[in-house]
Amino acid sequence: MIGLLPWAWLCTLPGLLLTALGRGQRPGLASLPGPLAIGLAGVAFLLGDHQPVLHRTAEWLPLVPDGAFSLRLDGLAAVMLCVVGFVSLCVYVYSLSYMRADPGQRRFFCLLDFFVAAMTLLVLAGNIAVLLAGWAGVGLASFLLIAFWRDREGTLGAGLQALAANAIGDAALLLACVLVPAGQGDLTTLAQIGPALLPGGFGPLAWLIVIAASAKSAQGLLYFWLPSAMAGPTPVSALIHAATMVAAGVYLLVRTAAVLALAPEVLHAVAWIGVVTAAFSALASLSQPNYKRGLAYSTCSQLGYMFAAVGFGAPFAALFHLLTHASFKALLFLCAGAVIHAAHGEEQLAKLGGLRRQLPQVMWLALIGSLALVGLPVLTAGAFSKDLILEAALHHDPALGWLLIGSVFLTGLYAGRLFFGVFGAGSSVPHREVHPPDALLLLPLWPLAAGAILLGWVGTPLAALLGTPQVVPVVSNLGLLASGLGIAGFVAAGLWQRARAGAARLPQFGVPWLGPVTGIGRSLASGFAGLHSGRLGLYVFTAVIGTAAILLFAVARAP
Amino acid sequence: MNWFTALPHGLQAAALLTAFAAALLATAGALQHSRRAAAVLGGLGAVIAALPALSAGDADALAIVGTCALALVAMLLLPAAELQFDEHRLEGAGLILLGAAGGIVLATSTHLLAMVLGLETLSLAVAVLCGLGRGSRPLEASFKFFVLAAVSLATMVYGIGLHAYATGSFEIGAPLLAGSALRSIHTAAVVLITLGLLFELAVVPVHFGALGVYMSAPAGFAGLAMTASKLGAGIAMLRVTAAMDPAIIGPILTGLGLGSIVWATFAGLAQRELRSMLAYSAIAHAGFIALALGCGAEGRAAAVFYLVVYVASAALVFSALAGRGAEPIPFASLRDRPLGTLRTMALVAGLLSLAGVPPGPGLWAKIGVLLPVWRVAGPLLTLVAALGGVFGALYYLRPLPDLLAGLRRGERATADLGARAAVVLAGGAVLLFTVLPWVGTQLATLAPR
Repeated sequence: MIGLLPWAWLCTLPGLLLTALGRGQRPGLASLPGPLAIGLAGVAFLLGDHQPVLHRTAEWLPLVPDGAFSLRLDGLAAVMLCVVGFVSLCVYVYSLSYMRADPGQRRFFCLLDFFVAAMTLLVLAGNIAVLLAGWAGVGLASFLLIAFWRDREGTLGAGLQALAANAIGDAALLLACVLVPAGQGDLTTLAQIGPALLPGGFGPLAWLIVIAASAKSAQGLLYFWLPSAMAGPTPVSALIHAATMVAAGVYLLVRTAAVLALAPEVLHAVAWIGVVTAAFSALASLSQPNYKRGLAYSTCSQLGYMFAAVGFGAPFAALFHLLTHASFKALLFLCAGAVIHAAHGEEQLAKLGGLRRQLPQVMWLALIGSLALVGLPVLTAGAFSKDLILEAALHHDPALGWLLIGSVFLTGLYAGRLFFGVFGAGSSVPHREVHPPDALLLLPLWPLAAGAILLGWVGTPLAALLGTPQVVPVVSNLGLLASGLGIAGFVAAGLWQRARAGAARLPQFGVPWLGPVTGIGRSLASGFAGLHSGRLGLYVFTAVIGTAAILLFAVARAP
Repeated sequence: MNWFTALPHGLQAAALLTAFAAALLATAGALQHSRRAAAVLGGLGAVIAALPALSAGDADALAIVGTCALALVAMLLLPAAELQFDEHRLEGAGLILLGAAGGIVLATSTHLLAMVLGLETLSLAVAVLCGLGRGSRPLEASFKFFVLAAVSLATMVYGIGLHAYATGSFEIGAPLLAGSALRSIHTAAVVLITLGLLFELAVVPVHFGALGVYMSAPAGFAGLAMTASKLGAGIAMLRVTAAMDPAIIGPILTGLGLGSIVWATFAGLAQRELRSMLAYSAIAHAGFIALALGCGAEGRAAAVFYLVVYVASAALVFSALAGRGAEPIPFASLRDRPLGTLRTMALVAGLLSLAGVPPGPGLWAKIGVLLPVWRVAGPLLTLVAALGGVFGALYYLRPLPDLLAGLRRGERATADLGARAAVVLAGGAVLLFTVLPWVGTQLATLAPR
């Protein structure tokens, strides 16, 4: 039975088929068992003897250097399966209510099923070829779900931005697939490849992995797509663009940490990328007028912490923060969805506010999520995982470490700004117009809130299980300092909001370079397409001149 | 019949196809009023022509069976084709068979003059088939293709003349006659013959003629032009590149291949209409095939796999579009005028495969090409090709949200029975390469070393 667990990625396919075929009174109901089974597969492994379960079909793709169909379920993959399975289940249940009135809800659940299958395949991939299949699959699902509401302006453009960023990552992974020697694409043994067999040693391979991870996790210059991706339905933002797919880059870095360790300059760059993204995105979040975009920048920032952890040589800290972040960020997004649902689709912070009386349950849940994000010690999971990262940062590179600690204050500021901006004083949504969330919408928020509070305590056993035994402190001096900064920021944002009676906001900045870059791309595209002008003379001229030029080149080179 | 069985398989198939084409044209009067009769008879001809080659396991057999399968798909789509005059459907069937015969001769010949004969038969059939389409756009594209094909033919024939002068033979791979002065002439011959074949493959800078046909011809005919031409020219190129000095042919093919990928990827990104997008993307795919062909024996194997996957995927896409109408298909119209479930899913599967997005087999075909490129041409060119490959997904996936949104409209789009059969046939091939990609890579071993 345990041997079948690596095939967990197929679990959502029956639901996909049933939903696509229109079976069931309520679209999406047939899809529920899929993510549950995936989560249980992860739990079953963790409760077992922890021996990796492998499947390998050799010669699946004979043209590819390591073209085996290789699946691997180990401790790391099992933890990810739990994250993917249980967060997905919460989002599915939430979506049953959230998408109830949408005419495309069957398509929505089919796409979710496809995403979960691809994400699970990515997690269970044993080698680069299978990883690439899952990697591209989640990118496709993300694009289709961002552009789900095709009637709404800007959704296709947002989806294409995500696709473009993903394409850069896909190209990097494609090259990594080409780079590894035949039969040595196993993700767990990449570091054992003889350096002589890799052109340029481990450096190029490590860079390709980092570029791929940065694209998927919206880090460095490749952060631009994530805020735009908020054009998709909120459950998608919670599942794909907060908890799972964006974490795939971090997962890849953790999975290949041994390779990165062999290229110290790359590891150092990863630390820098993470710290700079964490700080920059936190600032950018403060300038967002849109609730979901504010949360999206927060995701970029938190993923920056995870990147930094890998760069500081603490991959377990990155994975642990991935786990806690999945819980509290999915919670925050689903709370945001409940707010937006209640406010009839309104996402602008300036038009929200004062909802604590109309949505008290959502307010308390959002408070739990926000405090976990800030890192309230002992009581929230985020404090445990963030402390671990900050410890590693100070130990490894004090300058970067202090920069990261400074970012915690910014985290508090933006978390407070978003929380008090929606639930604090002032009201722009008339009371009678608020549409209260139903029980089904609120139900999945509670397990996520429980995760946001309790998951910190699993750190120590989790570290032992993954073979990196260490004690995750409940509280430390550094943790208290960081938490103090975070809470100070949170309270300051609340006071600011009370004084201004509206969400405080920095001058807006986001992706200043995107416009010029896409402008150049558009010019090149229309220029090249313009050559097909319909003028026969030009075509003949091009063919003749081209032929003559090639002929001259060849004859000149001939021996 | 001993003389017939003594013929090479390629000639047998070409003879059978030509005989069926002649029979179709001879019975024109009787069959003129039936939309299906010509397609049925023509389809039968394509199946029978493929039979003798089924037992052979070489690149010729792949070309024969593949081309006949493409002719069968085109024949199934014939009743749904948007023609200017309905009575031209019968001529269409005859031209499909003749084009297939030309493609087979082109792919299986070792004699350069026979190759020219095949190439011209295929080109003329494509030009006329395109011209049968409804409206003025197909006619204009047909004329331009015809003129550019003539330029290409002149180039190739001149190259064959130089080749005969330098080697004293019309056989591919014939050794050079004594005399060092002939080496340059031979090089020029190789380049000119290659460019003649590259016209059929539709590689920059000799791609404009094919581009117009791909955009304007009725879907079934455009699909045949896009696939049978590439299959025939691609397999002919396997033979040519295997026989020629890689130091001469290699840089030319890799350079033109990369140029095609870059040009078509950028131009494809500007498209907002499905047929145009598919046309530009066909140039990018031709670039990948040329790139692989320029990378020695390993590249030739990768080119075969790429060709097979591309041909199946393109045939699926055009099968899904058959009968949609003669006018352009803006992406947004896919939402308002849905294709129906079967054809929508077929189009999605075809586009994913062409884009190189799993679960389609296109990604593996691209990796197969990048490997020899990495070894032969180095990391920079591989990087450009990889970026071209993945950014191609941007234009392929762009219509998908509209396509899928169209599914919920609930309208039942009517599809001709033949078109549905073509979708099932081409879809089966894509599914096979998706689930069992090693079958495709086994075919790659048929490439000449």
